[in-house]
Amino acid sequence: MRNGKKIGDIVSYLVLALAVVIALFPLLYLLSMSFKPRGLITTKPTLWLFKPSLEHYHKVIVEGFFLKYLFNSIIVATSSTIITLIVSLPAAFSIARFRVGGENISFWILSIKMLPPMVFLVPIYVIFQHLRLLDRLVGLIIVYVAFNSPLAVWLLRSFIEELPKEVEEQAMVDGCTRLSAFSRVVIPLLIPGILVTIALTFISSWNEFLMALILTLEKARTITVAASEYITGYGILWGDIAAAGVIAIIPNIILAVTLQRYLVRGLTLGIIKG
Amino acid sequence: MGVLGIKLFTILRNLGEDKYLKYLMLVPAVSILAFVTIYPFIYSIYLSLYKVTIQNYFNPPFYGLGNYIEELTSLHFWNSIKVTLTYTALSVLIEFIAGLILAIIFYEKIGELDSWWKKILVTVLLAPMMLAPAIVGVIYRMMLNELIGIIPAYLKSIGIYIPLLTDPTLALLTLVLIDAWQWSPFMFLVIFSGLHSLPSEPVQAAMVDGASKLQIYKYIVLPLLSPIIAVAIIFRALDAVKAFDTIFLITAGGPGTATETISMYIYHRVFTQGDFGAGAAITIITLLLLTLICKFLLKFLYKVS
Amino acid sequence: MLAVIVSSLLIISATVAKQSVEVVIFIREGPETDMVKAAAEYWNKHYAAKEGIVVKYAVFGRPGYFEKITTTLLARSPDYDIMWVLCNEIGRFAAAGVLEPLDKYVSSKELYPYGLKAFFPASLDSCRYKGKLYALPSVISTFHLYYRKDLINKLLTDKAWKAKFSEIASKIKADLGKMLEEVPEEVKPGIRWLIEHIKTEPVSPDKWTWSDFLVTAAFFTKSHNPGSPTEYGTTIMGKRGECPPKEWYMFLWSFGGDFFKHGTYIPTLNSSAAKQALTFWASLLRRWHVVPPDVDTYEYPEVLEALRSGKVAFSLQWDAAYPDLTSKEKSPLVWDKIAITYVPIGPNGRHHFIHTWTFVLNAASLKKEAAFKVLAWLTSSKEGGIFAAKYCGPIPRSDIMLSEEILKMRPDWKLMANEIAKYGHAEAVMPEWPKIHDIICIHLVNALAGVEDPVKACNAMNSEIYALLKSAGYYG
Repeated sequence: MRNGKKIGDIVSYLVLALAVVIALFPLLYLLSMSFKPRGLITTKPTLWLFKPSLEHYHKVIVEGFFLKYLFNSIIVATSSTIITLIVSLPAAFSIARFRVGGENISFWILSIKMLPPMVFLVPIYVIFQHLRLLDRLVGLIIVYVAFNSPLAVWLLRSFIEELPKEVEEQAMVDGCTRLSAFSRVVIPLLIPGILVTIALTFISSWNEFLMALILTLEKARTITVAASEYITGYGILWGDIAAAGVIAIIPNIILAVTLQRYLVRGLTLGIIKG
Repeated sequence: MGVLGIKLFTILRNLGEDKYLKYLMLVPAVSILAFVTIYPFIYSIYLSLYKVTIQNYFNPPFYGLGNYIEELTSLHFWNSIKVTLTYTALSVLIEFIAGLILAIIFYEKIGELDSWWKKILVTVLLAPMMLAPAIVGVIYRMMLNELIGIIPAYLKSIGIYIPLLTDPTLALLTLVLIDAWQWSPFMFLVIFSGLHSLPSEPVQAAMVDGASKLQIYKYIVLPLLSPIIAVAIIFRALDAVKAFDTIFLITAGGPGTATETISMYIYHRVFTQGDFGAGAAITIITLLLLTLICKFLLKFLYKVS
Repeated sequence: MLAVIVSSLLIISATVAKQSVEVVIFIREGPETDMVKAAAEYWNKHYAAKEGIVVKYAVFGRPGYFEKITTTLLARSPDYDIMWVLCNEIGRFAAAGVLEPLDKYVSSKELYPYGLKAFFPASLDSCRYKGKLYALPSVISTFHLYYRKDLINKLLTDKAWKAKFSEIASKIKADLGKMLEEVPEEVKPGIRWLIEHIKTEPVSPDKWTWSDFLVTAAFFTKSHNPGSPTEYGTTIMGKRGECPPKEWYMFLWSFGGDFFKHGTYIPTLNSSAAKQALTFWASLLRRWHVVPPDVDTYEYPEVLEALRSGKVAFSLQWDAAYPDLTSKEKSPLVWDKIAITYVPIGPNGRHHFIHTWTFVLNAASLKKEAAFKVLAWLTSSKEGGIFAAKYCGPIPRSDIMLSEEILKMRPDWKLMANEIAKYGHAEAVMPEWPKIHDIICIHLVNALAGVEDPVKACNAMNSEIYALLKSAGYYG
């Protein structure tokens, strides 16, 4: 009995260790490739210990336009997150407290999450062409707000429903209108929930590829698309792609580490409450 | 004039009241969503009835149901449906099993996330799903490249010379495994959280009755968790159907059309071949198919739980 | 008061005088970007002030390039004035009305002093749609057979290698004999021809038939010949996109096939010649394994890398690769060992695929005249020709490509001029061509992957093209 448990323990820890290695390996590989000198990349694929070189970062940042694309991504992700919040908070409040539309709205919102973005991209592409919104940051921001709002509304609604109604009612008894009760009382209590929503929305916008690929050309290009563009007429510049990739995932890592607690809560809340 | 002004003022002042407020608060969200989803959707239906190609882009002829007929009788279209369903089913299955195993091991051996190293462990395990799928695509494309990639290098060193991305079946399987790499953490997270939120009485009672760990899991824990697992599976399946980024960057639908999912197929039809009308028709057909499948799935899962 | 008026007038005239027009070029990453970059620098230094035109350029990556062109033109975006477009695409964009017709510009002696006569007719024709001119040719491309002259020389002289070569020739001949039993009736004549032309002695590449190509490829493939200095004999281009059909057409034509029945638009890709060509091409991977197993991911950059790294002994490859492969710093392993020659001979002789990259004028441009001046200079002037020669490919003009100065820079273009003049063969010019190209590509790639057998693939591609052209109204 004792031995069985010990073997079980060893196997379990082995599996966990394996999971960690599998999870980290590609990331470590990316990091290693970004510092690997060009000559070594083609001749020694399995070499892990070498003298690191900054040539790829130099190429990408100084010679390429990568900083411009990074800047684009930051603007688009930040703006769309802020606007999504502004748009979704009231909507979530309305659905949670007033039961407007109720289940219908929830289903509509879910159905948007359900469909392949391609379904909307073809007509959006055509419409944006007529409206001259292609290859403009504004165009991307609008699309991202629209596609992130469903999840944001869903999440915020769950958080609002968790709050006891008494607090608001107390505030209204004390003389606030519904609106000021909302802004003065509800919102401060919602901060954890808002943080979760911000984290998830930002990551979703930052990571987005398909819409950025199709709706932009060069001026509004974001870094996820730019990282994939290092496939040139001279062969694929693997080192440069790796450097671009590393730069592109820095915000993800930062967010994951600092907001880990909130992210875990946010991701599971959607499922468990749903 | 004055009367109008007073009327406007009263309306504005009353806007703060409940009966107007509740609709007003929805206006921003609904209008953006309508502009970006409902309007394009209706426009899609319109586009799908015309033969819109690059050469007649500004003056397309009416085509009625022609696009629909062409697509529904096209082998390429049905191939993409088949590939999408295979990809989704396999990915979700693997992710569920991997996530379940990890969650159970974690729950049993690690328990609560009370110490710093446990939190780091969880963060590391969750890392794959934090990355942009596009970057994941770039990373794996590098790792799988026959000339410089590390995976073929390792495989060759143990005598395996099969290029993973050249055989049609292997290529699809490889993409499924990459999807599993990225999203198993999601399943792990959901099940792990679910395990924490379980009521303790049934488990206690079973232990008192002398049931083994395995039996407890099989007959009590899993059934209790099934609603949560069901929702997680649906979420993941819906996302898998949409998969584009990694597939586009690693195989672009190849070899041949072995990994051409619906999204990839639409991309080729519309942006490579220039058939906008056909693309619109495909999206409508896909929408109908997905709605049907979803309704069916929901009924089935409802029955099971 | 007067002072105010005068100073404001001065300011206004100063700003008006300073204004120079910006012309933006939309260009694809690769040798073409190097050409445009150098040309733009030169223009900005020497002509910008005089003409009041500053040249800028925007670079787009290879994957998805055609889609980006489509997006830009259809969106009627005025951000880009001149665009680097393949001749295949001109038909459908011209039909859509997004390209500016150039006839009125070229007929003006002032704007266009160069004259159209010097352009190679095939190239200029591919720039026309329904009689109107929509582009000017920039660079003409064809394939060469690139080979390692050090390895081939050894093969032609070394006794041990020649012996091994004979042995492999017999093996291949035997295998072809077996293949003859297996293939359908239609394909047999092609296999018989290959058998008849197997030689037991190696031959210099400029005289090769497809049989020599095959046997030499097997000789240089480690799985056939463990003593081979290279891993594989050759490569083919199998990545879905621009390249596989264009490479395959050379096989198609040399086996006697063609796209359409002469004088009509009835497709003939289900002919026995087409089936033989596809069987041969696909078998290079599937049956004889003389190409790397991942050729389904190969197009121009990957073939370049295969030659550059010494992985293969010879290959069909675009002419644009020559400067790269013969540059000491870019190809340190092989730079002094690369030679080029004609594409091998088939039952119907040898055929060189040619197509022309062109510059078009965006109909939505707001500076058409200025843009045209730049376009003209890039495509028709001596200086434009020099930049093209230095970085990219030849401008198809007899007064440029065949001029002494240029030929001194690029002696390899003597061969190329012959290839184009004697064996050049181009695609049809029609708006539906890109769609036809994709249909052919899908089936070629499927045959390569083993998903469709070559005979079925040819039948399928033919019927799909027929259906396409029928619904487009070509058959009345």
